[in-house]
Amino acid sequence: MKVLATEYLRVDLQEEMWECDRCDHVLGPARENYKRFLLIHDRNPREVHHPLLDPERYRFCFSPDPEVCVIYEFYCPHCGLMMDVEYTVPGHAPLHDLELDIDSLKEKWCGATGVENDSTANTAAFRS
Amino acid sequence: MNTTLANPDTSDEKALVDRFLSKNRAFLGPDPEIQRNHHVAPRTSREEEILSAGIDSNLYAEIRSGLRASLDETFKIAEMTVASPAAQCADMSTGYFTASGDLSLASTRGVAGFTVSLHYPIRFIRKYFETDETVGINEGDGFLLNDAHYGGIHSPDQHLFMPIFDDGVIVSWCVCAMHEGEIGARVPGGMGPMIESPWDEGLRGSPIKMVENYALKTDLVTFMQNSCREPQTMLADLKARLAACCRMERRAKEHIARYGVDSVVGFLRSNVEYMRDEGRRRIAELPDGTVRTQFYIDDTMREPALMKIMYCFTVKGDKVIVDLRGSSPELFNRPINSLLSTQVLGVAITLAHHIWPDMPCAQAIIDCFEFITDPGTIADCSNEVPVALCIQPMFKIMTAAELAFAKLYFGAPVKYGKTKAGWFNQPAAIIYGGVTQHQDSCGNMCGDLNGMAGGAKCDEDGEHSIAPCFGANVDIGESEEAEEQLPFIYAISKRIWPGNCGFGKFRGGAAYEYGLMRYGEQPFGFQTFTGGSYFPSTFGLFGGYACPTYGTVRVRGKNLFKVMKETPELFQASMASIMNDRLIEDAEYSSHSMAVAFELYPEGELFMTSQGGGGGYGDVLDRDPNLVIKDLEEGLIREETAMDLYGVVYDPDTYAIDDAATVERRKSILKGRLAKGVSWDEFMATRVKPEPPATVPFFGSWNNSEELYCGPFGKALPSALPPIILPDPKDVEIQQLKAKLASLEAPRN
Ligand SMILES: [Zn+2]
Repeated sequence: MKVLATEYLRVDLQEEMWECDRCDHVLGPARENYKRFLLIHDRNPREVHHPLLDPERYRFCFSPDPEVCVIYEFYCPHCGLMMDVEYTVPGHAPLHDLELDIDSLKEKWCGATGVENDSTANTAAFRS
Repeated sequence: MNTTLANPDTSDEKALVDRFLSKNRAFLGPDPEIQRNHHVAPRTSREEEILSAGIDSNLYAEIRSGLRASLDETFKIAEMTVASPAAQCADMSTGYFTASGDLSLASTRGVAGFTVSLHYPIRFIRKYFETDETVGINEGDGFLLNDAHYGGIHSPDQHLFMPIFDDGVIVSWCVCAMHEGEIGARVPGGMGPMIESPWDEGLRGSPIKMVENYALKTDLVTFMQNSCREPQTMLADLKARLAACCRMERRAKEHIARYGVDSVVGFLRSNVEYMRDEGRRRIAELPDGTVRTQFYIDDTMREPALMKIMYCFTVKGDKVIVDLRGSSPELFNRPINSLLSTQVLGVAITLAHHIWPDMPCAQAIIDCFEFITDPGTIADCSNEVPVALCIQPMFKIMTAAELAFAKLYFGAPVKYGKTKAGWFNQPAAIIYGGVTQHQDSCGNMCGDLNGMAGGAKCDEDGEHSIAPCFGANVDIGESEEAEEQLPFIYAISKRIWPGNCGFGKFRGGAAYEYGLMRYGEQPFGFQTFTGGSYFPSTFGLFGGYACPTYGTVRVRGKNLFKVMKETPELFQASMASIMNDRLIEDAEYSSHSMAVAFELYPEGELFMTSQGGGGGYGDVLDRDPNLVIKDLEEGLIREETAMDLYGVVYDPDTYAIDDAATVERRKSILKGRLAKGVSWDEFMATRVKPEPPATVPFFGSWNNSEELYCGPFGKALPSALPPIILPDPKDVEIQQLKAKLASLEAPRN
């Protein structure tokens, strides 16, 4: 069975693989950091958060300071979907933000009985 | 108990020595045994006896309803009678505790966070004062607390506790807790950048018996009034708290009379145990896993810095380990350190407000959590450093917990609330102080602090400036009321500026700017103490962007009331117009970070700042183009954002969407991502650096280094951190100017 781990990231519990929920691309082993299988782009935060005040005139222009802040954008290498963004300090390694215990995940979804719950139905319930 | 009234100077020597050894402790300071333990106390023998005989759930439900009604009643009484501006905006709470001090029930409205962290002082009072004949605990007593080292959130809060007796035995405690604000600190309002030592923090109220026989003690009240800038507010609020406690005590006794003392004691304890067990059950239900978040506090409040706070939440069976190691070392002379108890509190509030909204707010719900820290860091600081702005690291752990559990629950079979991105998480309020138009001395905080924006949800946008991250039922106050009481006007009030929200498939709530203009001749000034001016403060989720940064801007050197009167067309109630167009001649325009030290402002000068937006949810390219256009129409985003980031093609005059062109533009943005994104290995080889950037002092672990960076003091293992004492930025500037002057004056060859 397949379980959504994030809005865009799916785990195939039998194959133990991360998958893109948009294009079904198989990313890599689910026991590893999913970010290893994505494309990464380090983006100047001023491209996303445009200054409110004239940056030529004011140091504090209501937009992040590129000297201390960079945005790492993580894309599905197959369809380009942006699965995560991370704001960090330039030069810092990406954070291993999500490390699910795959055995425990299997047990919670399939249980001792092996009867499968429906992951998408559960998510849908909280969207309506 | 020895109740002799003899003067000890007349005692014989042996009696004196015996008495000395048995009674004297050098100092009843904060007790680590109490302060470092957030767990529910074991059952008392009385509780054990009552509960082991069986529980009548229907009876307990009836008692719960009755006591809850009492808490809501007393909350209202206090809210209608308090004078503190924060408490008038519902920044307060009332609660009933077990005899051991565990919070059983808090008022529905207000900020439950206050009552959540008040088992510490009750345990302290019982441990040290109950058998001390100079203090004791009697019917009709009230203990006041404000020092965060003994419990509570931070020192500008004041809480009044009253024991509830039955037949000479303590069976419960009640409290009326609130943000008082003015406590005689170095700066008005008890919080501010200039607080550099615990001795700048004002009143350090360890639990003090302020009330005897249900009456305030005039000598102590006078001392409290004499120690702060707002003596009238202090008195009014002490009376309001006492009135609330007296009513809570009376209601509790009515319940005891009606249901029997064992039923009330049994209910109070069983409610705590229910919350404890239900919290544990919900954690056990979750798949095991680890979620990490790191935040940067970007301002020591006196200078820019990057102070990392590392949050690692691990669910394992029915336990959660919260590991805060790797966080920045504590700063000896800056106010942004936090106590461990403050971090623990932040997790409890978040679980109750954001993750398990159906659960009551109490420390018991995180009884199955354990915390691991490096003592001496900003997440678990020593008692030697100032903590006046401990809410900075506390608000960070709140967002960290919010995001961690959003991720842990996304893949879980059972959820208790909607998945959403980070709520805004900074105290973005202007603090004021000085003399009012009514000739009263004052020092307090604008209710705008509560105007934080909500994070985007998995199925809808976040709400604009709706409520603080720590309490859902809180208000921002009325501008007109503030203007009547204080010598300023809201020259700009609650105006949303474009871009002040996290973008995404669903956007975070937007937040407003506001500007205070000084009115009148009296000495009066402003300060702010907010991070997030260089590096965004709250984050998005699953591809959603963070909130932007902001700042404080000022127009000085000119009386703008005259400008308004003589050339009204030159004054636009918009921060961007005022600062970018600079229509008012001969005025000084400047921008600063949102940590601005207290200064006096003469009449007609303008001090402007902004509340912060909520984080976004999901990929921006997933956002419905119609919602993007709606954002444009509402002034929430700029045209560039709609076109370049969201990839929506539209007629700039009519805002009519070109659907086909939008699809094409979004496709080309996706293609662009595939072209510019690099693989993990390439990224690690080319972008990741062995050391933090040298441009700004960095504090904390870098890429999981064992050693913590200590800014200008090198790096060290957590067990051997140097005292980090930062120079006064003004001295630094003077040194730089002197050096420049010397080089200019040097004889030239
Ligand atoms: Zn994909």
